[in-house]
Amino acid sequence: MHIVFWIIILLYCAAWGLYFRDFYQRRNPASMPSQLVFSAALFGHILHLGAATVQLGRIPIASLSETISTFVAMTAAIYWVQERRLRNYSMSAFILPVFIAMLIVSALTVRPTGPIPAILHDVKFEIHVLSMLISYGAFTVSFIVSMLFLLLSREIQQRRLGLFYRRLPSLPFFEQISNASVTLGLAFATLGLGMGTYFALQVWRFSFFSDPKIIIAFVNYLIYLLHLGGRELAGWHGRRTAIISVVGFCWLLFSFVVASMLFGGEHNFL
Amino acid sequence: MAITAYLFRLDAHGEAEPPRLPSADVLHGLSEHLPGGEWLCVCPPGYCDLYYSGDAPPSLPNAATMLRAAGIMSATVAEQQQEDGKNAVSGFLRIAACIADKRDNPHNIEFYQEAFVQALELGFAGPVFQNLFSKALQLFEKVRAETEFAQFAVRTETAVRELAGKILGDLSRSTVCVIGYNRTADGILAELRQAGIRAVHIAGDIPAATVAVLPARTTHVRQADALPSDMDILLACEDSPAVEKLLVNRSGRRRSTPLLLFDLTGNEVYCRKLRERDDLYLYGNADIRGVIDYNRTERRHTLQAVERLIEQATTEFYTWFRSDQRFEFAGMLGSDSRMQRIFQLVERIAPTDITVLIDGESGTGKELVAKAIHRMSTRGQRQFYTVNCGAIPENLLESELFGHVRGAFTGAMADKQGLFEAADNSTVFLDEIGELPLHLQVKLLRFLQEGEIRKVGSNTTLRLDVRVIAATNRTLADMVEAGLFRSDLYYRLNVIQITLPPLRERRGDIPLMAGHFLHRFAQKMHRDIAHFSPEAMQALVSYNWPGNIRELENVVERAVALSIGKAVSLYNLPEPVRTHAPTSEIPHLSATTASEEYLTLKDIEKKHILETLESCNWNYESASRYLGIGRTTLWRKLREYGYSPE
Repeated sequence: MHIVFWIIILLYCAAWGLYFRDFYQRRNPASMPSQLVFSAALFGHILHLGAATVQLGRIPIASLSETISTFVAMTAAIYWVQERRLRNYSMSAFILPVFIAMLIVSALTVRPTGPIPAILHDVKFEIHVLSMLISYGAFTVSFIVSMLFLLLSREIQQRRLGLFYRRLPSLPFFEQISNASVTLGLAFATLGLGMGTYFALQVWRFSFFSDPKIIIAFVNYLIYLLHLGGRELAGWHGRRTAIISVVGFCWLLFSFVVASMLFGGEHNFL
Repeated sequence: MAITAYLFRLDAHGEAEPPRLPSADVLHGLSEHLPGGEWLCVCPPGYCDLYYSGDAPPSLPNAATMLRAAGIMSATVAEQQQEDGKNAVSGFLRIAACIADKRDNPHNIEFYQEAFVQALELGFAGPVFQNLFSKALQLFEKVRAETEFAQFAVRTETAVRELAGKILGDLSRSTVCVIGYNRTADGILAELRQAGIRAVHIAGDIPAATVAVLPARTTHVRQADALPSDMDILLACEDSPAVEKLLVNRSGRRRSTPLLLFDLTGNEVYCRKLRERDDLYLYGNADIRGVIDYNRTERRHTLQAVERLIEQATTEFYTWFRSDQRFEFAGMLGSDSRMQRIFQLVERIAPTDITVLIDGESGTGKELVAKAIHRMSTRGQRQFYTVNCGAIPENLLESELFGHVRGAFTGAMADKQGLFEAADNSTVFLDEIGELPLHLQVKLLRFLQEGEIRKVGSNTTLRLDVRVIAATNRTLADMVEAGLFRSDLYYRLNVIQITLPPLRERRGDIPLMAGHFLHRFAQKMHRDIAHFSPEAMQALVSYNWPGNIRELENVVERAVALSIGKAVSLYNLPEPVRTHAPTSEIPHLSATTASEEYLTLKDIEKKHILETLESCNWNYESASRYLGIGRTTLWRKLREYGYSPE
């Protein structure tokens, strides 16, 4: 299975190479090989996860390695659909390297060999984890398009047009995707956090508030809530919302990886 | 035959002039200086382009003098350039298809089209420019469909539109305000309107006449303070304190949107004065030039593909231009200027339903012309009906043309459809119309006027839609005078008259046609014959050809059948052609009389030129060949004698 996983990573790498070539040569829509290779990588990845689900008898979300892989597959699937819907392929050159980096982390992370907690077989718990993963995927997309927004906006504002001006779509295009992603992410985060709270109340009573990762996740939720409220109530837009999205994702990375390694607590599946 | 381009860039005064189409009189004036060729003169703003295709291209200074003399070019010339051959063709294609790097006015294709249509109507442009312009049109479309070349904004207006699109996205919800007003702002507004901008507000003093004709969704206010602060784009053409006030007003709004401010003051007033803000995108003239330069640099990536398309179009045209195909038109060959004019006429009248009368000696290709008209018309897909009025017995002709009903006459056992009825929605070619009996002339006239026929023996009329093309090898006008042809029918048929010249009057076409027939028959008879011997060709050119092209065709067929070697020799030609003294046809001085012995050399020259012209039926091309002088010289001499060539 491990070899197959590396082949999938290589396919993602090949798709990224092709998309980057298309981006540099200003090809939009992207060339057929780029789209085919990305589709093949995603299809292979989903099949791989499907096989793992059948083999393990549960969704592969029990370890950091499995969770990252599932997270990437779901985000990539959401992006794949969006790419076709919006008919703009220039973002692939920036999103695919993030997927690849995460998959490499997943491949290099040690997989657990012993038995896993019984709670991981509970459907309600699986909904909690999947919802959180979808929301994180949406926040990741929002982060990447916000970064592109900031880069393009900076080029235009400083009147020094370069690599991005001709190759990227308009600023409102990125803003729309970022806003839609944050809204979607918040919706799933609400569901995920709600389910998580329910579990925590049942399993650990009120002690879960002492878990730093849960606090970090709630702070993260508040940041994105600020994004939504700011733009809906105060009319924030452009650079301001883009910066909030970037800050939110940096916080997310912190909660997802760093906190797992630095802090202990109940919320640990490694 | 050469093709030459004379390109003049006018100075700033010229650039300020609006695009114009010279009047027909002016162009006729210019045509006097450009005899014996096709030409096209186009005047896009700031430029004057002259293209000439013919044997006697003028020099660059002469071309400039001609354009000045005709009153087309009045401004001083800042830069002039002459291109010949392939370079001229490629230059034409680049400029007309709006892909010339230095002359990328997107309206060039329209200027060239207007000038070309005018030159075609006036008879100055012919097949050469027709083909060249159609290549330019194809190139214009191909470059836009197959490359990104046209997507790069390389003009101020398009650069502003692109920037606005990048910052604001869909412009249909954006508002633009203008403070002050100048030509740059006007151009930008036109471009933004094209992009579907929602509303335009203009503040400042603009002429009342301009205010009266402001386009839709445009309002004018006198004071800049009255402009709405929720604008998305601001074109600031003058230094006004209102701009800063507007910006302050905007920052006080709860829901702020980005503002794109274009500083069009010329001295970057706002670029120096205003502070950088998150929601303000400030661009001065120099910055827009920077965007244009950036786009030009980026556009270079597409040049390879564009150059390939230009090269392809140039080669295609030039190959056609250098080949005999140039003289081919719908199965007919003719390099003679009269034939070229006929080809143009045929092309123009074919799509109409106009009645055409073709006259010319037997064997000059009247039926080919009629077929060409039919094929190029909207009826072209239907069958073409031909009837030789002289070949059918008079008593049968009526029934042949108009049909009969059963029992109309003895032997009329069943209803018969006539030629006209069969040719409904198609074309009927009435050959030898002069042979049509008088009583049928009445019936034909009625059909031409009313579109109705009555079958022999029938009481009912039949309404038909048939185009009639008639031909004759007799002079119908003389027959009308002699009472042999009805004058009313003659005038009805003679809406458009095409007179085909006999072959002896277009000797320049003989080698072309002979070569064509030789190739055709050699292929048909599987003979490896490539050319005529010089003597044989000389004999062919010198012969009188009473049977015209048909006779030439038969002679070449016979020669191909008889020849043994790779070339057709003189002895393969029939005796009348062979024995024809090559010099006998060439006009010569008639015997001088005693009184003429004292003529001056100039008088003798004049007499000789006029006699030669007379014997060549005033065909300038043949006469100039016999006289051994160029056609331009002949025209100049005629003007000296007080004749004004048509």
